[in-house]
Formats: sequence, C-alpha cells, structure tokens
Amino acid sequence: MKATEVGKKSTTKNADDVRGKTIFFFGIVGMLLFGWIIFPLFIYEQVDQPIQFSHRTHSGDNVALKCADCHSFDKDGRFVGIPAVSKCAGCHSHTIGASGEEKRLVEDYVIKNREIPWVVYSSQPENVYFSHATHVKLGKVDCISCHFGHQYTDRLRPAMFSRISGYSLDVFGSTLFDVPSTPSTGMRMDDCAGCHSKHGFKETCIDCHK
Amino acid sequence: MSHTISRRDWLKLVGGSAIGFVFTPIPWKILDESAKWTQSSSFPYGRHREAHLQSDGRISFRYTTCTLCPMACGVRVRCAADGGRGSLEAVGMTGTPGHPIGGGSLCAMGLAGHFLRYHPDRVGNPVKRTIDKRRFAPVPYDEAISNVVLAISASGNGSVAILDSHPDRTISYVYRDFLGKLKNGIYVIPPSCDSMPTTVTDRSLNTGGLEFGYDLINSRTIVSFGTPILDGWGTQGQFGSISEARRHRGQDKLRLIQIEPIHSRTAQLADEWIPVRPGTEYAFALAMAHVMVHEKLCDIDRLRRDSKDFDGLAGNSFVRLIERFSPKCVAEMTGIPADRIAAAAKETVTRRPSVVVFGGNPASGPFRPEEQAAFMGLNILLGSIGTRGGLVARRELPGPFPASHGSDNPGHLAVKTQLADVPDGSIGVLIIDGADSGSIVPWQAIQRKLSADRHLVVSLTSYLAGNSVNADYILPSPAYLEMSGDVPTPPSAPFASYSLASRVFPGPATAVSPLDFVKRTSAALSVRLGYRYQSYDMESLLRKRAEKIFSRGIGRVFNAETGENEKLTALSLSQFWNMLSGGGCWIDEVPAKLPTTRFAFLDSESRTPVNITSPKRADSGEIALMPVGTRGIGTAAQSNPIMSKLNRESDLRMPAGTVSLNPVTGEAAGLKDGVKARVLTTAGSMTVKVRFDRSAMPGTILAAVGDLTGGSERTNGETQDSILQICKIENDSTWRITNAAIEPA
Repeated sequence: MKATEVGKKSTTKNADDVRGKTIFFFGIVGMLLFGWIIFPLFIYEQVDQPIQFSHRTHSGDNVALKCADCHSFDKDGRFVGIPAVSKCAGCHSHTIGASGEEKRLVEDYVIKNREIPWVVYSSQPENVYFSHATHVKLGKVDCISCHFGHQYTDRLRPAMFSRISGYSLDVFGSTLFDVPSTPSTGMRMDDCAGCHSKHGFKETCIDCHK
Repeated sequence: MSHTISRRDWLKLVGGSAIGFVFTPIPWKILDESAKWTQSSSFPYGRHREAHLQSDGRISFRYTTCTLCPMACGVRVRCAADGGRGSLEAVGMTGTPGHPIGGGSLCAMGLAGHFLRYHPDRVGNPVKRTIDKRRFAPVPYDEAISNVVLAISASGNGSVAILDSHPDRTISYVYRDFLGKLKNGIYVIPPSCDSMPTTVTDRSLNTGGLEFGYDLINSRTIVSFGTPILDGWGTQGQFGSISEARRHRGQDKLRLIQIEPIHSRTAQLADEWIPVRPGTEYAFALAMAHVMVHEKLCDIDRLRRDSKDFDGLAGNSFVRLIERFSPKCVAEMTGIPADRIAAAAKETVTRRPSVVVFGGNPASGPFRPEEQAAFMGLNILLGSIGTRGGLVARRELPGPFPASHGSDNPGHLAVKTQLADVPDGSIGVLIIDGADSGSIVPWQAIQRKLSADRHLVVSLTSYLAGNSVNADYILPSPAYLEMSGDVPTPPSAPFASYSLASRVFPGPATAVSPLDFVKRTSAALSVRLGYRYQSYDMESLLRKRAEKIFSRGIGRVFNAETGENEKLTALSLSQFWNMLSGGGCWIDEVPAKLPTTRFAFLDSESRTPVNITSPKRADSGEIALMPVGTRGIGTAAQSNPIMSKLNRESDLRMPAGTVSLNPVTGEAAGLKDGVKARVLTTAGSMTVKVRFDRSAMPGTILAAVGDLTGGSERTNGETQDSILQICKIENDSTWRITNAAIEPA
C-alpha cells in the first residue's frame, strides 16, 4: 500500500470520527432541546381563561380594591373564592372603560346574567382539602404570602393541565422534575408540610385529607 | 468523506438521543404523571381534566347513617361522578352537620369508611374452610346454603344460633322470627361495653325489660368505672357535648371522675383519675356506698321504702354487705387512701345529678355481673334511676312486624339471649352476623358455646377479619354503604332514636344480603316465616317499621338536607320516609315512665351477698394481664387507612402485639424496653414486644388489642395472633383480667 493511500484513509477515518461524534453530539443536544422545550408544550394542555382580567387595574391607586373586596368569606367563614358575576356587576353593570374584555364581560355575562366559567388553576385531588379560611383567618397569613405579585398582573395566564394525569401544573409545581426549586412552587403535600414545618406547625393526615 | 447518511450514522444519532433522553424530563415526567393518573378518580377513563372546569354536577352529596358501629352517626358522603361508568364514587366522608346523635362529627373509623369497600380483606365470593382447616376455598353460594341447611336439619340436640352484635335492627327481627320458627333456634347477643344488658337492669331495678341509657349531658358528676367516655365510647355528638359541658355551664360544670387502673386517655383528660388496683373497682364502689350510707349522705328512708334489701333483713342486706367495705379496709385492697375514697363519695353526692357509668373497655369487655350490681347499687343510692342526668329508661322502639297478626305475632320471635347465658357446648350451627358492636368478643368466648363433637359456623360478613376467620363458611354480604338497613337507638343513648342507612353504592353481584340468606335458608328448610317478608325486600320492611314509628306521632325528625328539626306530627308519612331515607333521624325526646317497683341491691333469687371474686393484688406476685383498645381498633374487623395511619404509623395507639409495662415490673422480670417477651397464662403463651411506660401500674401488663398488619394474604386463613387468645374467659363470658407471668422470649 502506498503512503498516500494510507494518508488518505487516515484522513477519511479522522473525518468520519469527527462526523460520527458530531452526529452523536447532535443526537444528545437534539433530544435535550426536544425534552426541555418541545415536550413541555406537548404534555401540558394550555387552557385560556374565558375573558381577561387585570388585577393591576383593580388593585391600583385608581380603584384600590383589596383582595377581600372580591375574594371574600361568607357569613359562615367559608372562602368564596372567585367572585360571582353579580359582584362584577356592582361596578360593571354597563361598560365604564374602553377595554374589549370589559365589553365582553358586560355583554356576554353581566347582561345575560351568566356566570363566567373561570378555569381553576389549582384544583386539588378529591381526597385533599385546603382551607383558605384556616390559613387567612386563623393563621393570619397575608394573601400575598402565597399569591405574591398577583396584584400586579395585567392578564390572567393560561392554566396548564397535564394531558396524562389531568392535574394542574400549579398543583404539582412549576418545574418539570418532581423536585420543585422552592417549597412553595406547588401545592403538593411536601409544599404544605414544608411551610408548616417552617412556621412551627404540626399537622395530622386528616387536616388535609378528609 | 461521504455525504450520505449511513446506518452507522443513524445508530450514533439514536445512541446520542438515547443518552440525551435520560437527561430530559420525558421519561420521568411520563412516569410521574401516569402514576398520578392511576390515582385519580377518572382512571382509566381520563376525564379528570373536566373537573378543573367549574362545571356543575360533578360533586354531589349523599346523606346516610353510619353502620360501622351502633352509634348511628349521620354521614355526609361526598361523591364524584365517575364519568366513564356513569356512576358515583365516594371521595370523602364527614359528619352530617347538626345531626342530633352524631353532632356533625365522625370518628377515625367513619371518616374513611368509604375506603372499606376496597379493603384488602374484603371477601369477594363465598368461601369454605378446607379440610385441613388452614385455608379457605371458593364455594358456589347454592352449595354453601345447601350445606348450612343440612347442618341445621342435622343439628339434633344442638341449637341453631344467630350471633347479632347490633340487635334491634330490622334484620335482627327477621333473624328472631326465623329462629323462633325453629324448634332449637336461639338469638344471641354478645357482650358490649356500650350496652347495659337488660339482665342487669331487670335484676337490680326490676323494670320489666326496659332499656336504659345514660343522660350524661345533664349530669353534674360522672363517675366512670373503666369506661372510655372521652375516647371513643358513645356517640361523637355526645363527646362534643360532654366537652362543652366540662368547659362551660359555670357552677353546673360537668365533672368527670375516672376510676380505673389504666392511665387511659379518658383518665388523662378526666378531672380526677383514681388509679385503683386491677379488679378492685367494685370494692371502691362499695366503699363509696359505705361512706354515703354511714354518713347519711343519701335518703335512707327512700332507700328503705323503694328497695327490697337495703337493710333490716334478718339475713343479708346491702347495708350488711357494705359493712365489709369500709374505706379503711378498701384502701388496702385498692391502693387508694381512705380519705380519698370518702372525698369521692361526698363529691358524687353533693354534686348531683350524678351518674355512675360502668361500660368497660372495648377490648377487655364489660364488668362481671356481680361488679355491675355494685355499680348499679351506687346509682340507686344516688337516686339516679329514672332522673334527669342519671340512668334514663328509653321508650320502646317499634319493630317492623305488626303487634298482633295471627301467627305473625311477635311473641313468636326468639328472645334475646346474652352470650353468657347460652349453655356451653350447646350450639350446633352458629350464624354470625357481620355487624359490628364496636367491642371485641374473643373467639374462645364463642367457641366454648359450640358443640364439641359437631358444629358449623357461618359468617355473613364483608371481610375476612375478626371472628369470621374462624368460620367454616363465609358468605359475603354487601359492605358499608352498599346495603340498605336501619340503625336503632345507640346502646348508651338516653332516648330512643331511629335512622336509615340508605344504600349509596351498588354492591358486587356476588354479595348476598343477610335477608336473602334467611329467605333462602328458610325456604330450603320449608320453614314458614311468620310475617310476609318472604315476598318483601329490605326497603319494604324498613318502610313498615317507619310507618309504625310514624303512627305513634311522637318525637321530632332531623332533616339532613336542611339541618332543621321538625315535629313528627307536622309531617306526612311520605315526608317522614323521605327525611329518614335522606339521612335524617327520628328521635324521641321523652324518657319512659318507670313502673312502680322496688329496687334490689343484691341477687334477688339467692338472697346471698353479691358473689364477688377476690381482687387481684399487685403485691401478691401475680401480674394482671389487661387487654386494652378502642372502638374500631378493638374489633380487629374494619381498620381503614386513616386508622392505620394514625394508630400504627403515627404510633398514636399502642400497636397490636405490644404490651406496656411499668419499668419496675419489667426489670423484675428481667426485661428491657423494646425487647421481645413471652406472656404466659393458663390459656397459653404469646410472644409480644415490650414497651416500658411509667404510667402503667406496677404489677399489670397492658396488652394492646387491634388489627394486625397484612391484608389479602390473610385470605389463606393465617392465624391472627391476639393477646385475647391467652386471656382467661370466665364462666360469665367476661375476660377483663387474667393472671399472667412474663419472661424474656
């Protein structure tokens, strides 16, 4: 075999090695990109709220509503949660601004006396019970302790539901792995226990599992 | 270099992707989400997502009555529609708010009662014990019935008995009618720590079969002999009311004096705990009576007038009996100073109305009849019989059958017989109803009643647990919430009440109700049942009973839907039925009038002093073995996940197979905390785990009774070792205390 042929083969082999490693590396990177960017788009179903709502507008200086003005407790102490349309109609019996969303609120819901089918971000499994009243009234926990920044939002973000389990991303934490970055990113049992432990509260099973 | 993609390139790409795949969330997330999906109520239909939309109708509530024990608590079942199957699934249980008996609360057993349908010990098909007696094997239902019928026909001199732990239900009347038609049928009630047997009240109070309950809420002083009043005894509503009455009411604040050797939860929570030595509770009671009589703290004239044997008899009298039980003498027996005995007696008298409660512990059973007579004597001295805040007689709750219907006369019903009154070795065929009294009955107490040479035991139950593991045949009945039934007055309640336990979910096709069992058995035996229920279903019988209650026109009815009470007279029959079947409750508000009678402190027949056995003495060298447990955990029959979590994993209750010893007692026996030991009695021995507890009285072994770990593997008939197996069963079917020894295993 001539030396030039040996050299050519050696060069080709080196090139093939580089090409092979590149393809191998491309496989790794491609899968990582797919797994971390595209897969989440696939596994979670995004559900938009029926209409948009600006917490910033309502809690800002002009309107200056407090959380409890809309998200109130009834006379039995039960947390009402999302206000009924009748509450909105107190101010929005007719349009008072230029927002298209407000127009939809008035025309589609207030005038027709229909409730808004809000999408709930954090419905717990059926065997779990979370009491706002216990935390807010008994535990004196401020709303913003858990819902920090909510009052500054202009839009309602879409809810994300797993296409497999059906549970909300808000329940099981905002990270894809099952280890949330901070204890308060979800409403898992570990999150509850972590916060309780942090504040020196002991809980029993039946506090949450009714 | 070639520009075509070779097979090797593809392999490298796939290899790289495979490595990258492991570092993406894909496999882990899919695994995690799939696991969550399998735990959701929508599995395997995948419709759970819809629950996150605020759609109406997915969650609904059903109201019914708990039948896990006789306490008749109202239950609100939270149900979720199971979209794929179009049926309901229970997802939560709470007490019915405002319920007159349950008070809106449920115990740990009831809170997770809906899980019991899926209990691993649930019996799916009829099974019979194999010839080697070690296993159960499936058997066709018809074959099982045929063999039961054959056994009844061939029972000869042996009797046919039905053991009913929850008497006075409509099915109980059916049992009694069936047994009444057999020449050798007997209807048997096991001992329970909740009920006060009419044999006791009839003997002491001579009240002709009236049933009594405790009016605890209106008392000012409760003297409890070993009864776990604040730990699962009675109804949940009663517990709440007692707690309220102990905190508030000013001068009339309720005071609880707990007298027992065990530092139980009730003892811990009581206003005063008097730790008498094991087996000396009766002596303490008689010493209290001694103080009351000698210091003339009670109405002596009334007692002479109203009782047959208070004093003055030439022979024995109550006064002569209590002469032997002076506080000084009893102080030595009980280990309680004489002045403390006197102080308890004086306080009980001065803070009237007072009532003496003597139910006993669910695991160790009721007191002996002689001891109960001593406690009842205290109630008579205190004037607590038939008075507000004392022992109150209930008005009778009508049964489902007509009062007089030719051959259907209820006189043909088999009479209620206490297990203790059944002759030993007399039962040829025993049918055990699956209802639970909340108190455990050791198998030996039942076994001694069975014919030694030939007997057959049939269990109509949903679970292979408790005494059903000793049956020859297990015929599965629908589980809790799967069968309609009724819940009569709770045993310790002061007033009569009636609730329906409506079916919430359908039971499995293989489950056969006890009513159908009786119908088929009686048809095969050609027994003509008295009433026409051969053609009735359970709901029709329940309606008959509701009609009879309605016809009395007394009491009020609680509406579970609205939480309000209405006078029965303000309702139509259909409204009454709808309220009952909707989880409501009828409750009487007036006690029964007591007949003019004379009380008896002593045994009315032999006229001899109460025959009380010698007390156990801690310093006598014998160790007293005492079973302990609570309702539910004591029955070893129906443990649910919450109880398992609370009692075993969280160690809130001493687990079965464990004994608690005072370190002094343990070290004297050569034991250390946490070691294995062997407990020996005349009935056998058992290996247990030792736990040192300074609150345990020296000279006692507190042995936990409860369910054991395990589940479906027990369907092979593995023996459940229980400390009760080595307890001595007395002739009167009690087993409170057994002389024992303990040594290192």
